[in-house]
Amino acid sequence: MMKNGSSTSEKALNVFLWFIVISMLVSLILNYQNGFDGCDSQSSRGRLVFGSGNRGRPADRHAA
Amino acid sequence: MAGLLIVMLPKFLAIKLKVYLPPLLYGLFLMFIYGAIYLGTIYHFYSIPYWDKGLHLISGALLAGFALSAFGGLIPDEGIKHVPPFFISMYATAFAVFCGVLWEFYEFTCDSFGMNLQRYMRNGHLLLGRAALMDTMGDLFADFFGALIFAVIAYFKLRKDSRWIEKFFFHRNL
Repeated sequence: MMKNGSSTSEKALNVFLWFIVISMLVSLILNYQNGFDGCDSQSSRGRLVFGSGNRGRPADRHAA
Repeated sequence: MAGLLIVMLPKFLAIKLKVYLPPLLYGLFLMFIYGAIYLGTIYHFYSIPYWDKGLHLISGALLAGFALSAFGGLIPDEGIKHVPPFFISMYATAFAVFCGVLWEFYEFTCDSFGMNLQRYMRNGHLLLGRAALMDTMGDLFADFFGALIFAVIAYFKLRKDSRWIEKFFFHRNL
Protein backbone atom coordinates (compact mmCIF):
# COMPACT_ATOMS: atom_id res chain seq x y z
CA MET A 1 0.00 0.00 0.00
CA MET A 2 1.00 3.60 -0.49
CA LYS A 3 2.66 5.58 2.22
CA ASN A 4 0.13 7.57 4.23
CA GLY A 5 -0.15 10.98 2.72
CA SER A 6 2.45 12.77 0.70
CA SER A 7 2.52 15.81 2.95
CA THR A 8 2.94 18.52 0.29
CA SER A 9 -0.15 17.59 -1.70
CA GLU A 10 -2.17 17.05 1.47
CA LYS A 11 -1.14 20.46 2.77
CA ALA A 12 -2.02 22.07 -0.55
CA LEU A 13 -5.42 20.37 -0.49
CA ASN A 14 -6.05 21.49 3.07
CA VAL A 15 -5.23 25.07 2.06
CA PHE A 16 -7.61 24.77 -0.90
CA LEU A 17 -10.30 23.28 1.34
CA TRP A 18 -10.03 26.14 3.85
CA PHE A 19 -10.00 28.65 1.01
CA ILE A 20 -13.30 27.24 -0.26
CA VAL A 21 -14.84 27.03 3.23
CA ILE A 22 -13.85 30.61 4.08
CA SER A 23 -15.03 31.93 0.69
CA MET A 24 -18.37 30.20 1.15
CA LEU A 25 -18.74 31.50 4.69
CA VAL A 26 -17.90 35.04 3.61
CA SER A 27 -20.43 34.96 0.78
CA LEU A 28 -23.02 33.47 3.14
CA ILE A 29 -22.47 36.28 5.64
CA LEU A 30 -22.55 38.91 2.88
CA ASN A 31 -25.76 37.44 1.54
CA TYR A 32 -27.37 37.63 4.97
CA GLN A 33 -26.17 41.21 5.39
CA ASN A 34 -27.56 42.27 2.03
CA GLY A 35 -30.85 40.53 2.63
CA PHE A 36 -29.94 37.85 0.11
CA ASP A 37 -29.47 40.54 -2.49
CA GLY A 38 -26.92 38.39 -4.27
CA CYS A 39 -28.33 35.04 -5.20
CA ASP A 40 -31.95 35.29 -4.21
CA SER A 41 -32.84 38.67 -5.62
CA GLN A 42 -33.69 37.13 -8.97
CA SER A 43 -36.31 34.89 -7.44
CA SER A 44 -37.79 37.80 -5.50
CA ARG A 45 -38.13 39.71 -8.75
CA GLY A 46 -39.78 36.71 -10.29
CA ARG A 47 -36.96 36.06 -12.72
CA LEU A 48 -35.98 32.67 -11.41
CA VAL A 49 -38.68 30.61 -12.97
CA PHE A 50 -39.48 27.06 -12.06
CA GLY A 51 -38.20 25.05 -14.93
CA SER A 52 -34.99 26.98 -15.37
CA GLY A 53 -33.04 24.22 -13.69
CA ASN A 54 -32.01 23.70 -10.10
CA ARG A 55 -28.28 23.82 -10.63
CA GLY A 56 -27.97 27.53 -10.26
CA ARG A 57 -28.13 28.19 -13.92
CA PRO A 58 -29.41 31.69 -14.55
CA ALA A 59 -33.07 31.80 -15.25
CA ASP A 60 -34.30 32.13 -18.75
CA ARG A 61 -35.37 35.73 -18.42
CA HIS A 62 -37.66 35.79 -21.39
CA ALA A 63 -39.58 32.82 -20.09
CA ALA A 64 -40.64 34.61 -16.91
CA MET B 1 -24.94 26.00 3.34
CA ALA B 2 -25.35 22.62 1.65
CA GLY B 3 -22.20 23.38 -0.34
CA LEU B 4 -20.27 23.89 2.88
CA LEU B 5 -21.42 20.53 4.19
CA ILE B 6 -20.62 18.75 0.92
CA VAL B 7 -17.14 20.22 0.77
CA MET B 8 -16.37 19.31 4.40
CA LEU B 9 -17.94 15.85 4.39
CA PRO B 10 -15.11 13.77 2.82
CA LYS B 11 -12.48 15.33 5.08
CA PHE B 12 -14.69 14.86 8.14
CA LEU B 13 -15.37 11.21 7.29
CA ALA B 14 -11.69 10.59 6.51
CA ILE B 15 -10.66 11.92 9.92
CA LYS B 16 -13.50 10.20 11.78
CA LEU B 17 -13.05 6.80 10.12
CA LYS B 18 -9.25 7.16 9.87
CA VAL B 19 -9.34 6.64 6.12
CA TYR B 20 -6.69 7.82 3.65
CA LEU B 21 -8.24 10.24 1.17
CA PRO B 22 -6.56 9.98 -2.26
CA PRO B 23 -5.21 13.53 -2.82
CA LEU B 24 -5.71 13.64 -6.60
CA LEU B 25 -9.29 12.47 -6.27
CA TYR B 26 -10.00 14.87 -3.45
CA GLY B 27 -8.38 17.73 -5.37
CA LEU B 28 -10.65 17.11 -8.37
CA PHE B 29 -13.63 16.89 -6.03
CA LEU B 30 -12.79 20.25 -4.44
CA MET B 31 -12.30 21.85 -7.86
CA PHE B 32 -15.66 20.51 -8.99
CA ILE B 33 -17.51 21.71 -5.89
CA TYR B 34 -15.80 25.10 -6.07
CA GLY B 35 -16.77 25.50 -9.72
CA ALA B 36 -20.29 24.10 -9.44
CA ILE B 37 -21.51 25.40 -6.10
CA TYR B 38 -19.40 28.41 -5.16
CA LEU B 39 -18.70 30.00 -8.54
CA GLY B 40 -21.58 28.40 -10.45
CA THR B 41 -24.49 28.73 -8.07
CA ILE B 42 -23.54 31.63 -5.82
CA TYR B 43 -21.81 33.81 -8.41
CA HIS B 44 -23.81 32.67 -11.46
CA PHE B 45 -20.80 31.48 -13.43
CA TYR B 46 -23.15 29.17 -15.32
CA SER B 47 -23.93 32.19 -17.48
CA ILE B 48 -20.38 31.97 -18.86
CA PRO B 49 -20.53 29.96 -22.09
CA TYR B 50 -19.28 26.40 -21.66
CA TRP B 51 -18.83 26.73 -17.86
CA ASP B 52 -21.10 23.74 -17.47
CA LYS B 53 -19.05 21.80 -20.01
CA GLY B 54 -15.85 22.57 -18.12
CA LEU B 55 -17.43 21.14 -14.99
CA HIS B 56 -18.47 18.02 -16.87
CA LEU B 57 -14.85 17.70 -18.02
CA ILE B 58 -13.67 17.80 -14.40
CA SER B 59 -16.39 15.41 -13.25
CA GLY B 60 -15.44 12.99 -16.05
CA ALA B 61 -11.87 12.89 -14.76
CA LEU B 62 -13.07 12.69 -11.15
CA LEU B 63 -15.34 9.75 -11.92
CA ALA B 64 -12.60 7.99 -13.87
CA GLY B 65 -10.37 8.41 -10.81
CA PHE B 66 -13.12 7.06 -8.61
CA ALA B 67 -13.36 4.07 -10.95
CA LEU B 68 -9.76 3.25 -10.02
CA SER B 69 -10.69 3.45 -6.33
CA ALA B 70 -13.61 1.08 -6.89
CA PHE B 71 -11.29 -1.20 -8.85
CA GLY B 72 -8.97 -1.41 -5.86
CA GLY B 73 -11.87 -2.15 -3.56
CA LEU B 74 -13.37 -4.88 -5.72
CA ILE B 75 -10.35 -6.73 -7.11
CA PRO B 76 -8.08 -8.68 -4.75
CA ASP B 77 -4.57 -7.21 -4.35
CA GLU B 78 -2.80 -10.05 -6.11
CA GLY B 79 -5.19 -9.82 -9.08
CA ILE B 80 -4.58 -6.13 -9.79
CA LYS B 81 -1.02 -6.73 -11.00
CA HIS B 82 -2.28 -9.04 -13.74
CA VAL B 83 -4.80 -6.63 -15.23
CA PRO B 84 -3.38 -4.82 -18.29
CA PRO B 85 -3.18 -1.00 -18.06
CA PHE B 86 -5.20 -0.66 -21.25
CA PHE B 87 -8.11 -2.55 -19.72
CA ILE B 88 -8.00 -0.42 -16.55
CA SER B 89 -8.01 2.78 -18.64
CA MET B 90 -10.86 1.52 -20.76
CA TYR B 91 -12.85 0.53 -17.67
CA ALA B 92 -12.24 3.95 -16.06
CA THR B 93 -13.51 5.75 -19.18
CA ALA B 94 -16.55 3.48 -19.44
CA PHE B 95 -17.38 3.95 -15.75
CA ALA B 96 -17.21 7.75 -16.01
CA VAL B 97 -19.32 7.89 -19.15
CA PHE B 98 -21.85 5.53 -17.55
CA CYS B 99 -22.14 7.87 -14.56
CA GLY B 100 -22.57 10.76 -17.01
CA VAL B 101 -25.42 8.87 -18.66
CA LEU B 102 -27.03 8.32 -15.23
CA TRP B 103 -26.78 12.07 -14.65
CA GLU B 104 -28.56 12.71 -17.93
CA PHE B 105 -31.26 10.21 -16.87
CA TYR B 106 -31.68 12.30 -13.73
CA GLU B 107 -31.95 15.51 -15.77
CA PHE B 108 -34.44 13.91 -18.15
CA THR B 109 -36.55 12.70 -15.22
CA CYS B 110 -36.54 16.17 -13.65
CA ASP B 111 -37.54 17.67 -17.00
CA SER B 112 -40.62 15.44 -16.91
CA PHE B 113 -41.71 17.57 -13.95
CA GLY B 114 -41.50 20.86 -15.80
CA MET B 115 -37.81 21.69 -15.46
CA ASN B 116 -35.42 22.57 -18.26
CA LEU B 117 -32.21 20.88 -17.14
CA GLN B 118 -31.51 19.42 -20.57
CA ARG B 119 -32.08 22.79 -22.21
CA TYR B 120 -34.72 21.45 -24.55
CA MET B 121 -36.58 24.75 -24.33
CA ARG B 122 -35.52 28.33 -25.02
CA ASN B 123 -37.54 31.48 -24.38
CA GLY B 124 -40.49 29.25 -23.50
CA HIS B 125 -40.41 27.53 -26.90
CA LEU B 126 -39.50 23.90 -27.46
CA LEU B 127 -36.31 23.37 -29.46
CA LEU B 128 -36.45 20.95 -32.33
CA GLY B 129 -34.14 18.24 -33.66
CA ARG B 130 -30.43 18.56 -32.97
CA ALA B 131 -30.89 21.90 -31.18
CA ALA B 132 -32.78 20.14 -28.39
CA LEU B 133 -30.02 17.54 -28.11
CA MET B 134 -27.10 19.97 -27.94
CA ASP B 135 -26.87 20.34 -24.16
CA THR B 136 -27.21 16.64 -23.39
CA MET B 137 -24.77 15.56 -26.06
CA GLY B 138 -22.33 18.33 -25.11
CA ASP B 139 -22.43 17.16 -21.48
CA LEU B 140 -21.78 13.55 -22.51
CA PHE B 141 -18.93 14.56 -24.81
CA ALA B 142 -17.38 16.61 -22.00
CA ASP B 143 -17.73 13.67 -19.58
CA PHE B 144 -16.12 11.41 -22.14
CA PHE B 145 -13.20 13.72 -22.92
CA GLY B 146 -12.54 14.39 -19.22
CA ALA B 147 -12.47 10.66 -18.57
CA LEU B 148 -10.39 10.01 -21.68
CA ILE B 149 -7.72 12.55 -20.72
CA PHE B 150 -7.54 10.93 -17.29
CA ALA B 151 -7.48 7.41 -18.77
CA VAL B 152 -4.64 8.23 -21.20
CA ILE B 153 -2.54 9.64 -18.34
CA ALA B 154 -3.46 6.60 -16.21
CA TYR B 155 -2.45 4.25 -19.03
CA PHE B 156 1.06 5.66 -19.32
CA LYS B 157 1.50 5.89 -15.56
CA LEU B 158 0.34 2.29 -15.09
CA ARG B 159 2.56 1.05 -17.89
CA LYS B 160 5.52 2.57 -16.09
CA ASP B 161 4.49 1.41 -12.61
CA SER B 162 1.55 -0.90 -11.92
CA ARG B 163 1.45 0.30 -8.29
CA TRP B 164 0.46 3.81 -9.41
CA ILE B 165 -3.20 2.76 -9.13
CA GLU B 166 -2.76 2.43 -5.35
CA LYS B 167 -2.69 6.23 -5.14
CA PHE B 168 -6.45 6.07 -5.70
CA PHE B 169 -7.25 3.46 -3.08
CA PHE B 170 -9.08 4.39 0.08
CA HIS B 171 -7.42 2.56 2.92
CA ARG B 172 -7.19 2.74 6.66
CA ASN B 173 -4.55 5.05 8.07
CA LEU B 174 -2.30 3.00 10.32
